[in-house]
Amino acid sequence: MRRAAVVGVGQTECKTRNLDVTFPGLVHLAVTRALEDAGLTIGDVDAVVFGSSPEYFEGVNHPEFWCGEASGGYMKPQMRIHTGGTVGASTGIAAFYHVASGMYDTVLAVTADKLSEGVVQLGLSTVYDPIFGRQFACGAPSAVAIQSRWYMHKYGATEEHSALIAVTNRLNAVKNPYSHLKIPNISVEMVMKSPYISEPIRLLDACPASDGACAMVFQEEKKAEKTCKKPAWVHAVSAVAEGVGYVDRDWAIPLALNKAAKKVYHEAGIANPFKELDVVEMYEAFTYQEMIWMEGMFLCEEGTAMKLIEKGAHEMTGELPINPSGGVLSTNTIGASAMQRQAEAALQVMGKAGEHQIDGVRRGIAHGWGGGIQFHTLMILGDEKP
Amino acid sequence: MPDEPMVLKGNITAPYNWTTGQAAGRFLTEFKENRRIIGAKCADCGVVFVPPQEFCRTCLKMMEFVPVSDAGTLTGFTVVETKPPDNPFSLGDPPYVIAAVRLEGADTDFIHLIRKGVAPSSLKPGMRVRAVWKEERKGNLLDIEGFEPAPEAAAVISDQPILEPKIREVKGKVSVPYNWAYGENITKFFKETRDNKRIMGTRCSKCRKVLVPPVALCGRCFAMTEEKWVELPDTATLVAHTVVYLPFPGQPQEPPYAYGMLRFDGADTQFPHLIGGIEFDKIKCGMRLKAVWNEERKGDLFDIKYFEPLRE
Repeated sequence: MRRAAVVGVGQTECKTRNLDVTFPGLVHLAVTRALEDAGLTIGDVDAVVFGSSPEYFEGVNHPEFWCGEASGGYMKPQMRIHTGGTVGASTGIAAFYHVASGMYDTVLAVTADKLSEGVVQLGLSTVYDPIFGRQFACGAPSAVAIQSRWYMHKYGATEEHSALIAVTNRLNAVKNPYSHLKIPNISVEMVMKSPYISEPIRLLDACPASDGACAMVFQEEKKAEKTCKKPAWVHAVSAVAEGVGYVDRDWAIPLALNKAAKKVYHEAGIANPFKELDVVEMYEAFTYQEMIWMEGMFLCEEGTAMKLIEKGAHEMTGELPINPSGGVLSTNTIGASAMQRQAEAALQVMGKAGEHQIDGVRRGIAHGWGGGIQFHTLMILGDEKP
Repeated sequence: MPDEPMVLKGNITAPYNWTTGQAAGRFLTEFKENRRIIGAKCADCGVVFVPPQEFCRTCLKMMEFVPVSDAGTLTGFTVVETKPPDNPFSLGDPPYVIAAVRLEGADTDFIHLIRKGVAPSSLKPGMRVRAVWKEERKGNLLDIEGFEPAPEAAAVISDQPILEPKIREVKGKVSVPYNWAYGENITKFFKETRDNKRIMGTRCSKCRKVLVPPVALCGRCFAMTEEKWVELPDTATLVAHTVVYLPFPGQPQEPPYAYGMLRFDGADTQFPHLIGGIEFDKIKCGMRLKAVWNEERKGDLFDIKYFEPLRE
């Protein structure tokens, strides 16, 4: 496998309803910005990987065809990726594979969704099994509410813990020009007074639905060094799926994430991820998931994430900042969300995260989550060659 | 004799508000207000796209909007002779003619219709055609009734300034009917719930765990389940739950309602269902539940109305 690095990142401002551009228009904007950031033109790109979530969100099938030109894919090899919520990360990983395999030197990955075009929870509910479960589905919130309740019952986490997580993410989002939901006066009390959408999840425990896109340019070693003074090197990637209804499944223990984490830490030579990682960008659409994923990524022991939250270890100034970007809790396009985690981790490593930059980031991890709570992806990025 | 496989009939219907953006927004606004067709020209490569694009398809640069003629050359056409059943997108009763027209001033073909009443036999690729506009226009593609042969049509291109996009959204709906096949195992499961109020599970040939719903494959072992099924009681333990408050269009249940993942006694997988007969704040993980059966059962998940607390 060849070395590969991220040399450019492009994001659109995310919002509830972007009436200025179509879905392809959003894709085009992110692509243009990523190329600008890298100092490249579309002519330098050898192949394009495109990703978006279920077509029911926009009501137009085959979006890679619809966005083929917007993504810069005219007369280039194009591949479409779709793995639910993880699609953004899977698309980045696929672009990395394109480069690492030796097939292509410069690969553009772009993901987007324009959730305002349709009814998000209805689109998400079509993901459920029509025979067993769609009858009760309330999109993502109800499934994650059950997962959250499961976790609380098992380990004793409370609504206060979730509110602390909401506050941290929402305060971070204020510093990110691309984030969607910004609540500068957020407080634990405000979160706990917000109404339940699917108990125990309250409105302020939940992500918004956003229109937005994200693009990244991956390059092989020699070109990356020429393109970019400080590229973000890909140290390890992993994408693991567990089943949906397998025997003895425990929704509070993400086995797929456990396996993905073991693989990337092994490949990146990380023995103690909590100490050796400088920043985490995690895909939590709902607060409680931050604790479940922290444990799933071995940042702490099972059932102890709430202790780290109580200490503020996850804050910008904490021992291991989680989601300085404001995370998925503040911006959720679904299609681009997991790629935004990779892009934000890359920006942190490159020192280009702006107001939400964490000092001295050498190595960061980006996580993606999706499907029926069963897909997980991880990517470790660092400022040194792997 | 194997059971005749059953099917769950359903439908997915979703409303949409599609954003028109700068290009289609201007295009539709000009349709409605000026009976004019707008294209987009790339400053770099000079290609004029109709309908207009927000950016150049080949070089990705932003576009300048330009008017084109509503007359041009018929490039190709097809006669639609049949109407597929349940097709929500079809244009009404066939036959109708879909045509590709290269408008004067454009470099791409515009796809539209041939006006009703024009005999398909009179059409030839290469012939000159012109748009027939409707008197009452709504700002959608069908503001043009269709194209008709017009040998003498001149290529008039009005150069008055192009309007800003006033039409910013197009509303629509997608509605698709489905027939989800239960397959052999689930057919058997629902025949048992329907006819005998009985819960049946399968057992993995490898790990020996019991699966409900009784699928044929144990996903964790990637091993088939055994031919002999396991009968289970209709009592269960609640593993975790939620009360849904969030409403949305097309929701299958009216909020608030409680549902959860439960484990039938003797099963090793979870099963989703509604929780009833109890105040929401009394529902607790680990509580014991019993199925409340529907009087009328059709062989689906609602053969059980909901699960209520088990009084032991």
